[in-house]
Amino acid sequence: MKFDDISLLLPELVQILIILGLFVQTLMKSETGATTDIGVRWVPWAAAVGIIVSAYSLKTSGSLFWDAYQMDGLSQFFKMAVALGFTIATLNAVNTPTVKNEQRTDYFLFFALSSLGLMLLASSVELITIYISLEIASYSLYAIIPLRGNDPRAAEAGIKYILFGAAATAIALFGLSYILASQNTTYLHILATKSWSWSAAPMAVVGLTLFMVGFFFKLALFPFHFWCPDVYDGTSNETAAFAATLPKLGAVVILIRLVALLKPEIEIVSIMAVLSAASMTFGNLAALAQKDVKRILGYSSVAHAGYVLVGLVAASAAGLSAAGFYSLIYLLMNLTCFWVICSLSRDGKNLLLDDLNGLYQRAPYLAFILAVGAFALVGLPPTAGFIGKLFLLTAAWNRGYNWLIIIAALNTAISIYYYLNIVRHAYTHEAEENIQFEEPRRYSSIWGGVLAASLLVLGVMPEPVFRWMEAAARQIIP
Amino acid sequence: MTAFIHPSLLFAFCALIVIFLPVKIGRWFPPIAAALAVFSVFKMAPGSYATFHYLGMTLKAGRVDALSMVFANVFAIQALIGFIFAFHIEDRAQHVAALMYITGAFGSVFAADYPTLFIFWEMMSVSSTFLIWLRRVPASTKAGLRYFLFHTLGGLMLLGGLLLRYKATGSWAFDPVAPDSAKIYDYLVMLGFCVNAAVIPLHAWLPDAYPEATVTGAVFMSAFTTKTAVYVLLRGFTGFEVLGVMGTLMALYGVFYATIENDTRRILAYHIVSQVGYMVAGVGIGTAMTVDGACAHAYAHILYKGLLFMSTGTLLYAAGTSKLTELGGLFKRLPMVFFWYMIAAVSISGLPLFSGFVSKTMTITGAAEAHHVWLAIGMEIAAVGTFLSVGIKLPYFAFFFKEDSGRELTPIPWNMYVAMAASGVLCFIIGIYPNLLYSLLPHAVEYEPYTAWHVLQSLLLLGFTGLGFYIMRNRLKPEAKLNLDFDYFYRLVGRIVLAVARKPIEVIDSWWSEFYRVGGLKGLLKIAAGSAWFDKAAIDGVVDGSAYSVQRLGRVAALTQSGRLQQYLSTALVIALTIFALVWFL
Amino acid sequence: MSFLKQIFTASFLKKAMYVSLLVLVVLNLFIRPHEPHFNAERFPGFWALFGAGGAILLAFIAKWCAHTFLGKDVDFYLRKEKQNSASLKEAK
Repeated sequence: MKFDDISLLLPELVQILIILGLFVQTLMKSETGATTDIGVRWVPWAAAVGIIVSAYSLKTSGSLFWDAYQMDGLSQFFKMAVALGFTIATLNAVNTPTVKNEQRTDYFLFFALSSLGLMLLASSVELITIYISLEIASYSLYAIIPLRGNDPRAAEAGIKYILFGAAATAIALFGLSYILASQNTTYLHILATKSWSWSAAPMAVVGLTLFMVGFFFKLALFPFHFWCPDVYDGTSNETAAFAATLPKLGAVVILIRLVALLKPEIEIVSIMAVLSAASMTFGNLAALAQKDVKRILGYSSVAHAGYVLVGLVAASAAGLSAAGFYSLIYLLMNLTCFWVICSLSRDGKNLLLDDLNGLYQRAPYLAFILAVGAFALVGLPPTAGFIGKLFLLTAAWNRGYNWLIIIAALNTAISIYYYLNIVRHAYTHEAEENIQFEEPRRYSSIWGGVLAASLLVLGVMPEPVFRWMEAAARQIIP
Repeated sequence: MTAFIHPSLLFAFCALIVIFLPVKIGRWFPPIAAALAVFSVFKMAPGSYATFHYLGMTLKAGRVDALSMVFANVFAIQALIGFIFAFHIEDRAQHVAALMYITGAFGSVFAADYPTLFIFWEMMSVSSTFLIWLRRVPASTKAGLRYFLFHTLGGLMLLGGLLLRYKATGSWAFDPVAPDSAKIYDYLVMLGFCVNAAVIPLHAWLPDAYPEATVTGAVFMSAFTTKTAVYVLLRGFTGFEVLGVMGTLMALYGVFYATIENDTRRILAYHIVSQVGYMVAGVGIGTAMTVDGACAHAYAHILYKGLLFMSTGTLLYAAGTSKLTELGGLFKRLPMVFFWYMIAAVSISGLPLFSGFVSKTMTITGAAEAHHVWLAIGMEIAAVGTFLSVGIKLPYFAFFFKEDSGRELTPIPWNMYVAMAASGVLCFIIGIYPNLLYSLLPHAVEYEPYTAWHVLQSLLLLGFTGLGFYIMRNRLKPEAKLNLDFDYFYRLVGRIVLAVARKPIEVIDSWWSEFYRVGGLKGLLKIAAGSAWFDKAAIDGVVDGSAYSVQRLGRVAALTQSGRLQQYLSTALVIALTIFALVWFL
Repeated sequence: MSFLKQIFTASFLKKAMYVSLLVLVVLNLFIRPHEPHFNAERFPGFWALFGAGGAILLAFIAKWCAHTFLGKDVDFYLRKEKQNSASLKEAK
């Protein structure tokens, strides 16, 4: 590996440096034993440096480790998205109330490790590397899901996530073995030259479908979504913010790479279409009945996984770029909603819809930010959610899956109910007279306002970001 | 170093800083930004910079040549003086408004095409409205609203002209228009410019609004709005005969009203109309000497008008009033204010050794040499009126005439004196060393101000004007009256439009109410009863029913989330394999 | 300081003003424009007459206009506004 190659790895290096810093910090505390708490306040700023470095490295291209690790437009875009998500999630979690002070550094260490795994995932172009990166990302997250004071529900959520995840990745590994057996290679660029239709290579098709199951699990696609509402519900608010958003980016980038191998009329894509429709419908229907805000967001993740898959089903450069763009938007929308949840829940408890009553009087800025996030998740103009859905649906139209588009539109209509319900509780319901509400986090309106503003700005001027994503997609599907 | 730093960026960035910092710290930044702008202006080299893309257009925001540099030069210096004058202001919003206003002014000066110009033009319009509103008295609120409406009208004329021009020529470029081939859209654009240049009859906003502005806001506004308009007229419309005539008319009109006004700042506002008239006339005549004269006059005018507004603003700040009928006898208590006022007054009148002499006489001579003798005579009459009203009447009735009324004076902050002194010194320096100014002008200057004849003629004119004042001094006493101006017509038009809109609508409305009451109501009630029944029974049934069923379906769907992991795993696998099998094998 | 006040009395200043104006007119006999822009400019004392005459005429005409049709009460527009809003209320 030559010295120039280091310049290819700049975003990962920043992330590794953050990990090293946190690691040293954990060691330092245990040695001295005293409560000299340097604190974790520096992590969001270091992560912001990571965003800048990733933006600077957007145009790098090259490959390392015998072509198993590739830098191209797609990987650099997603690394920047991961850096962005990591910054926001750590900023959100700096004062998390349910993690003890001594554990906070470790907590952030695992956040950083998971993000590193996701960055590695973005650049992995060989199946085993993909698998290893996936496991790095997942295991780091498994460790911190149970970290929620002394709440047994968090431990339950942790077990569910670990076991379900283990089963899903075991299936994925099984599928990998089928692929290896039938196509005799694990490199994606060689797999792209092979045939993937059922009649020509049935074992490979089975293998690829099972391999994708691992990522469908990460994405919380029906029927691999069962962990999603329980885990969001059980784990602490800040961890849920991270787990609800960043792993999805990793799943989407790998699915984009895998779909690039395929042509739209073949069976795997049909399976994805069916799963997408089922996911959207199921997610939206189940969300209608929920009273806990995090569970609503959990089911909405299931529905949004369905939407993202619509772009993948299109299997064209336009569709893949729409899916990538939508995953970035989804990151921002969800982090906005979680930001408000974490700002309001000072003791770390789960927020019910009734806890939002009268928010427009108690904290008008936060109510507005929540409304922007909710409208974005519905897909109303002028938010970025509308633009994202628009790109997805137009990319997939007339590619042989028009029925899917219609189902997606119907589902958007169903979803309006429960998202607007959130806004309804915040704006039209009066708070109970005798209930004492705590003050929201200080300065939460400022960064929350930045998030809401980014949603509105991307909704009005999506061009620069979308064009970049499109160029990246064209590199893998000409 | 030929790097180009657009001064607008400096001021806009400074505005961002000032918004977020507490004002006691933030108020240091505008003078620093202005000093940096002065530095950048002096370092500028001619060329075309700052090309950017917006909405599919390629726009150039950095046209630097002799014409834009001379205006940028004086804008930067006046910005610095103005911000020193405004240093004591503890209202953050006023600083931000002034900064955005100056951002707009610089942007307009360096704009190379119409869309850029329009953006900065409107920025100036909005920010200057705030400089009026932030005085926070009812009269200022009303005046600011009228000001804003009128400037929006001007901006719309500009927008209409530039859009029509794009449709006709396909180009956004802001270049000189040939007078013989000017089309409707060129005249529309010129009208838009003339609003800001306060050309009669579009000028009434100026004497209406400037006296109601804040003490420091008026200092900024006197410099930038009208001179930006002069700049764009110079850039686009030199040689238009009509401007020559209107300019001279403006010059006379302004001094006419200045002689009969009572409010000190209104006198000065009419004076702006008058002095800008000189510049507009210079644009209209269009020869090299008159264009140079217009630029030189603009340069000198910004400095001495700024000083005039600063000194009368200081009077307003100290004594609490700007009406001549209420002032008087303040010489002993405010001698320095009087001194700097007189420096500016003799500059504006064109006394030798001060800046007005080297600029005003150039314009008049240029007019005469281009054989527009009547225009030259008109300008000389205006010069008489200028000295009469601003040079003698205003200071005499403000500082002398009466015994000191003993009214309490607010102490004047040191920065106001510093700013006035800086302005006054500059007026004097330019007066005795005119080449400092002449070297900035776009065309080579062949005019020699300090000849024996020129000096004598000025002294004769001014001296005997003084004699005239002495003879007429009783008649020229200020009276507390409101003088009607063209704004009477603006308001009339507004009232007519309102009445016209009201009357027919009133008639129709009462007729309709009658018909509704007698005829329509009963039938309507019957139809309403029928639709209400249909709505409740049929439609609500369907809609609510479907909504409830979807919700019930949702509850059923949520039941799958039993909470038990083994059930999750098995359900997932079963469903997944079923789907896979169906798709693979069908 | 007071002896300066004794010299610079009002009558002294008046006399000084008249003397300096006379000096200027006399100078005009000798210093003339070498390219007069119009005929009348050649005559000595033209600009003096122009200045004084212009000032007197301007003061006369301007104040005449102000006293006849231009000058109104200070609350001229306010009264108009009140009339307008009153008539609006009647119409309702």
